[in-house]
Amino acid sequence: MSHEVVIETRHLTHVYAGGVLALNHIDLKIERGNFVAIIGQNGSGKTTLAKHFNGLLKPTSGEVIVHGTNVEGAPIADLSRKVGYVFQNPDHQLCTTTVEEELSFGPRNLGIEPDEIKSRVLRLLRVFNLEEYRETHPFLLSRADRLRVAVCSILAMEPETIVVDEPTTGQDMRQSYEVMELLKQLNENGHTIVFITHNMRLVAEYARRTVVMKQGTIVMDDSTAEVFSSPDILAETYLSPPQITQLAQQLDRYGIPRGILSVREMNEVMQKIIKPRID
Amino acid sequence: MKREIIVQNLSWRYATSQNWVLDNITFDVEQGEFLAITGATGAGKTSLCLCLSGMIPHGYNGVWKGSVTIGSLDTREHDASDIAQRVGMVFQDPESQFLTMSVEDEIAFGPENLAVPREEIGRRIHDAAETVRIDDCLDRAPYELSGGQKQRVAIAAALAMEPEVLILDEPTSQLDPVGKLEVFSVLKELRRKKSITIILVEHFTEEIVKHADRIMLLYDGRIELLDRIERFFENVDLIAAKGVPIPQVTELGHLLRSAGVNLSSLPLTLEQAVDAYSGLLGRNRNEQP
Amino acid sequence: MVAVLSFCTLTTHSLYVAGPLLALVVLIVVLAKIPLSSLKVYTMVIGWLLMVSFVIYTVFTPVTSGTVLYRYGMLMVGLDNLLAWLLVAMKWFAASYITAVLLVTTKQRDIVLGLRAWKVPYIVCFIASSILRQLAVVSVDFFTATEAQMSRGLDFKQGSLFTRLSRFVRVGIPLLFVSFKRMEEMSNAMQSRAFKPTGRRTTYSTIRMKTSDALVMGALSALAFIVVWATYFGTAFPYRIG
Repeated sequence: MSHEVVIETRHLTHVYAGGVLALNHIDLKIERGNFVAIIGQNGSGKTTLAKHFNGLLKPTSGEVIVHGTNVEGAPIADLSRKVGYVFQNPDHQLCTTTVEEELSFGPRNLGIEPDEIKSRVLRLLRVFNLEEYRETHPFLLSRADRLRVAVCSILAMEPETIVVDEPTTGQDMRQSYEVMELLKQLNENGHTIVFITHNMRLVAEYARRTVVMKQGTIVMDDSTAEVFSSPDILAETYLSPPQITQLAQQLDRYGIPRGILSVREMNEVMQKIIKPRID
Repeated sequence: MKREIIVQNLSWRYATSQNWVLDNITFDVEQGEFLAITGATGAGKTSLCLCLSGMIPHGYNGVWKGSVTIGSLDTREHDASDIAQRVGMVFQDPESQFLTMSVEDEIAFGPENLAVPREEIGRRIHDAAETVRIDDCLDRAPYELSGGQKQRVAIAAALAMEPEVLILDEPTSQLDPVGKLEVFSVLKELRRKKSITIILVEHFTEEIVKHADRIMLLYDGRIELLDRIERFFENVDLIAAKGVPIPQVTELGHLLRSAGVNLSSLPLTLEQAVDAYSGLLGRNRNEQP
Repeated sequence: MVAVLSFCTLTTHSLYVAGPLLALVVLIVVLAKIPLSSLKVYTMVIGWLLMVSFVIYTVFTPVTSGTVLYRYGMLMVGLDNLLAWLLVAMKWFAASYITAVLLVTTKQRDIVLGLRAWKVPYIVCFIASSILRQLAVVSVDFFTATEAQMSRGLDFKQGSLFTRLSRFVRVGIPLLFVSFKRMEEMSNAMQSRAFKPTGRRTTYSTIRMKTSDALVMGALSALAFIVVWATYFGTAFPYRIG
């Protein structure tokens, strides 16, 4: 895996109009192929940080360099070629009359050739099972389908890095997993994924690296297993690891590792301890 | 125990659709019970809530079959506002259900509409605000409140009408973890203080198991499962097939059982799990050579 | 208070009245500690309009009476025209600043309670309060939708004014949809609280007129009376214009 840095922030500080300090000297490096989760309470600066990655926000001081380009002075339209941003509520994005139009919207704005656009759109419709909805008005679809259309419309611009803001709000568990599987597939194909979420279960199961934020600073940036094994950090930020991890930590005196991230893992570990007794 | 809600052969189809969103639903809810309703998106949970509160059929066009009785009122025969007095409802979006400009006005809104006398309104506001622990925020405007606070105000606003039944339709799905906990702790407090019947639609099964008496699994407009909590999660495969998550500790128990481990009952909460699994692991440790 | 002062400023024809009125408004602005940033928009818009009208008043309006200050070939700049422009400037600044005062100092809730106290029918008050409430919500939605479209390559900074404005259509569509959904949710919430547009209802919160309120209202009504009288009936004020 290449270790090329795709997103870098140096002493990034952002102050909102009105004097609110949202980000305080953030230093962060995200490499190509990473699958990173950013977690923290509301108001910790997660979304503020993510919005710098495609230029929606510009630093008050410090630098943000995205795919080699300094965000300062770069038009968002240009940055959106490299970094796609999927918003929390897909309804804020949908603006055309058919799904096909919707998927073509982004690439058209970027000036991609119409034939190329057509082929991208057809491929996406096929891969994400949206072919039957090709001529449907986006607002007539169910919420889960609208989210898929919104994600695909960003994918149609073929960004290398994808930032997803709270993919699970208002979704049920199965839909959330669908979105995460989609992101996992993209990651396996070489895309860099950054997602913001409150859902610790999904962080545990998908993110290899987790960045924990509190009041505008990064309090921890490590592998997900490490982060969830550090109870003090999490307690400080009022976040709890997934139930299975908490279970593992409460049973650690029986030899259970503290960094268990999934039920499957826990099952294997426990069986290794219990099974010899049964057999 | 007196039956508060009786639903018989309820079916509903919206005027704009060909599908029966609710298909021959029959169940009752006892007075003071805490019933949780879960199911994948599109299962009909919200429509069921709207039927229980009288908004269907009064506010929506469609085809209705069967009956819903709250207390002694049949929802088809009474005005939506008569039913509103008996059934309080809390919706999913903290923003759009906050109708007025301050917490106090919001809680007073319902009783005002019912022409409750002023002193009584004052008492109800105080009582409701105390239950949801928002009594120090009475003069705040909605934009000054967090999502969790707004939802607590919504609960207080519903309680101020002194309903017999409180229905909450995914009240935490748009909230952050702190907000979610706030809402659940209010529900716990509510159960302790009042004998109100509560119906909660929720995906977050790990919290539901701490509060609910019974859980209903809805799928495609039909009741797939309705049972007391202790027995509900025995049906792990069915629940997973219908798109509903089960608590991780319970899932673990199920996997261990399938591997031949002897577990007398599936733990539902973290505490139960620590007890049950320590037992298993502890016994093993004592017998290690 | 706002209504009275606006009325005064907009109807006066005399510089001598307009001048002090503007001074009064500025005094109020200072006393109420209004942040200057909130006045910025008004100042900029009116300032720009006034610059244009300055040119129109001075250069393009024929001088019919009074002294001529400057002459250059066909163009004449007359004193009277200049004064007329000055009067307009004062009136508009005063009227807009006082509106800013209203919006900044009064909590939205109090505006509606005020209407209620004047026995405006409840349904009107409710609509007014809903509009104020939704304004904040809709503007957040507007910004989010704009950001969402910017993230899809829609550039709002380049191109002619017309192209840029037409791009906002793409923001309008999701906004409309989101607003419709909200309306449905709002109406469900209203129904669940037994809302009836007409019919008996209790009013819980009220505001009472305090003595200070009564005094201010009395003083301002007197002022309004004087201004109207001076404008239309009096000859005591010199420098009547137009």
